[in-house]
Parts: sequence; C-alpha cells; structure tokens
Amino acid sequence: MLQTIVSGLESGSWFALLGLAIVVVMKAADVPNFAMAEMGLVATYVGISLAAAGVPFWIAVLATLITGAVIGVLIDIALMRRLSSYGHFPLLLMTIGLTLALNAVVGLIWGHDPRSFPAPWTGAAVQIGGGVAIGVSQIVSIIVGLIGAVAITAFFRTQVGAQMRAVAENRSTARLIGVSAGRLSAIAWAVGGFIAAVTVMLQAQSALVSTLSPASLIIYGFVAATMGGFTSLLGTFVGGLALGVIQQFVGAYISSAVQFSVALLVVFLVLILRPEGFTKGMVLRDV
Amino acid sequence: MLLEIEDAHTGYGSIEVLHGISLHVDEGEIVTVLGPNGTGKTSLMRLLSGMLPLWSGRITFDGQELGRATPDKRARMGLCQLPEGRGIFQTLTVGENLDLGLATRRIPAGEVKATRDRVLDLFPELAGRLAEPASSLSGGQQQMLALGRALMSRPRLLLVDELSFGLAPRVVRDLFAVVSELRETGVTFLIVEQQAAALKVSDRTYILRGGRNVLTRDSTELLESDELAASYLR
Repeated sequence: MLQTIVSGLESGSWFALLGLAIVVVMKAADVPNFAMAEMGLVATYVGISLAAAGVPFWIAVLATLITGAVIGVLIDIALMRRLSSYGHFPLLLMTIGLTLALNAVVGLIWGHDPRSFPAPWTGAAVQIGGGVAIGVSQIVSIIVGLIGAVAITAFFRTQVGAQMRAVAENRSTARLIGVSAGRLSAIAWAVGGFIAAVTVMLQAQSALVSTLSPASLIIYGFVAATMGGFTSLLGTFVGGLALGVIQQFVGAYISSAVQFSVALLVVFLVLILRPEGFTKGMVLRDV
Repeated sequence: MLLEIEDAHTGYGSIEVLHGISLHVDEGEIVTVLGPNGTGKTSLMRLLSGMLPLWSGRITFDGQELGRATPDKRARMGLCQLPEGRGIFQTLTVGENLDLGLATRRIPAGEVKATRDRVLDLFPELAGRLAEPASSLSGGQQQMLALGRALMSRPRLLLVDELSFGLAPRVVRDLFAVVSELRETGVTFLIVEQQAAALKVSDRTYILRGGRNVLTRDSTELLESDELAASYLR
C-alpha cells in the first residue's frame, strides 16, 4: 500500500514536472508543446553518453540540464519564431513534427534499446519497517519534484516571471508597454527544456527510458497541465501527483493494461467537472 | 522635433481610416489631439505604437524613421504608451504592474529604486498597496498605476489614450495636474482626448475629424476662441 503510494508520487512527480514545463511555455510563448518529453529525452541521452564515456556523474547531470535549455532556445529561435506570425495552428503542428523528428534522431544516434542513467544511489533502498523498502531514487524524484514546483512558482514571482504572467493575461498590452515577447518566449523555452531534461533524467535514474517512453510521458504531462487549466501551477503539480497515484493504484489493484485509459478518463472528467479551468486556458490562447 | 508625422495613411483591412494626418511634437511639449468618437484618434495611437501598419507617409521619432518597428521595440526606444482602458494586468499585484515598466530596460539597474521612489512620491495612494492585487484598485488609482508604470520605463514621449476615460472629473483634474508636473521633469506628452479638459495643460492642440486634420492651434488660444465649439461640436 505504502509502496504503491510512493511509486505513485514518484511517477506523479515526473508528470507534474513535465506538466509544469508545458504550462511555462504555454504561458509565455502560447504554444502547447508536444515535443516536451522528446526534448528531455535528447538531453538525457547526451548525459547518459557522457556518463558512459567516464564523465563524472554530476558534470553529466549539469550537461544534461544545459542541453535541455539550449535545445529549447534553439527550437524557439530557429523554428517557432519564424512561424509565429502565422498563428497557433502551424506552431502546434511544428511541435508535433518536432516530436517525431527528435524521436527519430535519438533512434538514429543511440538506437532503440532502453537505457538508464545510473546515479550513485540507484539501487539503494531505505527500510522503513514491516519489510517495506523505498528506493532512494524514488525519494529523489519526489524531492526534486517538490523543489522544482517551488522553484517555478518563485520564478513566476520574479520580474521576468511577472512579465510572463502579463503576456499570458494580455499579449498585446504587454507588448505596448515594452515587454519583449521574443525574449520572454526564448526564456520560457529554455526553462521548459531545462525542466523536461530534469524530468526524463529523474525517470532514467529510477527506471529505463527509450524512444518509446516519451509518448506516454507527454500524455500524462498534458493531463497534469489540463488539471491546472493550462495556467495554474499548483493545479498542475497536484494534478500530476494525483494522476501518478491513481495510475499506480489502478495498476496494482485492477490491471496495468487500463492505466493509460484511466489517465484519459481523468482528462474527460476534469473537462466535464471543471471546464472553467480549461476554458481559461483557451481564452488565454486567443488574446 | 521629437516626433513628426507626415501625411500618414493607415486603416484596417482595405478600409482607410486616416487619410493623411500630419503633426509634430517638440521635446518638452504637451500636445493634445482632440476629436469626437470615430475620428481616428485611437487609430492614430495604434499607428504610433506599431499596432497598425503605415500605408504611406512618414513617421520619425527622435530623428529615426519608425518603419515597421514592433510595439515593444518602440517602447524600448522611449515611445511609450498608456494604453486605452489603462491596460492594468488584473492578475498581477500593484507592485508587479509598476515594475513591468522596467521591461523597456531604459533604466540602469542602479537607478531603479530611486525611480520607483519618485513614482510613489507622485502617487502616494499606491505606495501602501504594492502587494495587493491590481484588481482591488479604483478606476482612478488604476490610471495612476498605468501612468506610474509608464514613468518606470523612462519614456521620451508618452502617448496617452483617453486619460479621462470613465473617471470622475475631480480624478481627471488630479491626473492632469500630475501630467503638467511631469512635463517639468522633462517628459513629453501626446494626449488623445475627447474631453476639452486636456487643453488646460497642453501647449498645442490638433483637432481631427473623419481621419483628417481640421485645425491646429495653441491650446490657450483655442480655449479662448469659439473655434473649438465651431469645429468640434458642429
């Protein structure tokens, strides 16, 4: 029971973090980024390769994070910015195209075999009595998830963060008073890529990742973001954690075959019961 | 000349709404553009802020042709706007709204605090409420906040769209008093108004009608003559 909850909070932290990355880009750059999980995967594979080549663990981690942020900025400057005058639909299609392209690039360079990013604590466990053991890597995911959520909330309280919230509320007025949408969008993509790298890295220090794993991660991330109405950080974070726990319980007590359907059922219920959260997100896109 | 508009044409889609507007604003002046609803005043503001494209004619600001410069670029050049309807962000606090003015990055980091203190001296009503949501402010206070935010961006020329919009006459008088106080500190204003109250603080006035200039006068001269009534209320 306790193990199920912990496992749920662990995967929930990944969903929550990816959801937050999606919300950050959504707020400032106004794009639902379907390539978020793939961006994290590319960054993580860079880290795995460095670690395999003998680079010390923490330097490989740092390189992974920087790679994630750089990928984000490059995507924004090289692709998104050129399309931004054509409206939302081309941008959305571009992120879907990027998802396929990045996935294929990972497959070409690293192959399709599952890999992990072993940390010094991988495999270690804490006995908490009654024969129950919790993996250190699970605790790491949960703690980093919490730190990430607090850090992102703090980020939105800074001057740059306030500018992003202003852009989310009214894009054209924000520009009128001198807020540079381009600069903010680059920052948001960098932050998004950074968080995506953290997310997939957390996944890889605990479990295996491969070119197949982003597909479900991105769906769960979007479910978390939906629960926050694509705007609320708290809603996204709590939504992600709840989704992880629900999913683990469904896997443990019903069947792991329906885990995915349950996630989609959650979206369905959220949209029916709390449409105002989602509507807010839609209005935000129109501004 | 800080701002010069020569024979500017613009519009929406294929419909022209400004049919060759010309005006200029010198450094340190307060210039008013008057006209009833639907004369193209707001289109003029949108043209100047870069939200409407210039179809033909020329606009130069501080000797530089504005061309296709984006709204945020223009704000960073010092051509700042007090948007119609104040443009206060309701989901941000009063302090956060104020600091949005820093987005133009025209103030060196070392002078931010002094500038903020100066703005709060001008609007003491805001000083005690920095941490409150901006949505809790009254209309007049929101207009003060919008003006304060514009000052935080250290504007060369402040474009003001309907300062008096939806405000009580007493509040409007106070705001115009602040405007003339600010002129003493070197801020130049171009104010678009429906109300003639703006004339009392301004140097020169342009009257628009149907997207064309119809009259240009010294504001005091205009106030004393009956031309205002003749050309404006006709």
